[in-house]
Amino acid sequence: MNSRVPPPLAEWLLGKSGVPDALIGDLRETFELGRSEAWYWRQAMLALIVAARGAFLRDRPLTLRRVLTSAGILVAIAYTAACGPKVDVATGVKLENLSTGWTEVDSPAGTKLVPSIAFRLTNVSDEALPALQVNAIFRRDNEDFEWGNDFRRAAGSEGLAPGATTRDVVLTSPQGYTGAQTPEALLQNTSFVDATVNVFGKYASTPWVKLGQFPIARALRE
Amino acid sequence: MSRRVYLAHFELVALLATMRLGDNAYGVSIAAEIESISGRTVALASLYLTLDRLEENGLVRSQLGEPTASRGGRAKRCFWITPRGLDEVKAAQRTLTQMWSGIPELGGETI
Repeated sequence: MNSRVPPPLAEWLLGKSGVPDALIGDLRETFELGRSEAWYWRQAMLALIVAARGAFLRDRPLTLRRVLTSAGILVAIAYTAACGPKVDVATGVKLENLSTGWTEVDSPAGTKLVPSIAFRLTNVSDEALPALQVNAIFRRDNEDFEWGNDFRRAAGSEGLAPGATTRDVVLTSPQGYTGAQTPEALLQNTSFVDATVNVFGKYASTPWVKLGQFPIARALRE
Repeated sequence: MSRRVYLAHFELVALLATMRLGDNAYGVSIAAEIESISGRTVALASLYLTLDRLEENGLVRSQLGEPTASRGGRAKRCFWITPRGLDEVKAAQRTLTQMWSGIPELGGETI
């Protein structure tokens, strides 16, 4: 159930070569939508060429410093991999009491409905999970790109103990549909397009992993 | 008075895609919009190069949003067109419309 991860070497090179974070994020988002590794490498090489040209024109010593910094970071990554967190969040936590739907929020334009998801997280691993966080990415079903996201910290530095369950976590998209109709009528509008949410989780310094993908029910939530 | 900027084809296409997307204009959505309409494959690095140039010329502005998990914790860079950018798009539209007219092979009206 993990999300697809781009070739680590390519992404690492991008991160250490002055390629803007927003561009690296765009490449990752597009890759997750189903592009091939070959596509990612082609895009990455072009981005590296563009960044190298810009760095060379701006500041040659800075380029050298980045190479040295990259070497230091490699050592740090190797150390962290050996001593860091061990639990795979995708299998170490379980989503329970899950519900989805559309929530009415205040809007000066009239009725506004936004997609939302609620659940509780149970730690099914045998280790405490500190700084447990979840992120929801909403998409409309007729679009490939994001339609809004929400983020929550589900457990603090004390961690979610083995077997423990969080309180309700509710994640809501800032984007939605507005109209002059009632919420019920808005749900039946012919222009209404359903949405889907991808939920990701992480704890401590682990990378984000996908916990699941869920269709948003076409129903009102409290 | 600011210097006139003559838009290259891809710059114009990127500006129009940015306008079509409104509040949701960022790298992925702009590239998808261009690809879906033109059928042309867009290299994201080339698109950023173009958008950077447009921003340097004051035709678009950009702002970083919140980091999201699906992007490896990286923020989106959202773009929107400036009044000057809108003026340049309108000027390009006028020029192209006038160039098209009088060419029957292209379906332009003869004046």
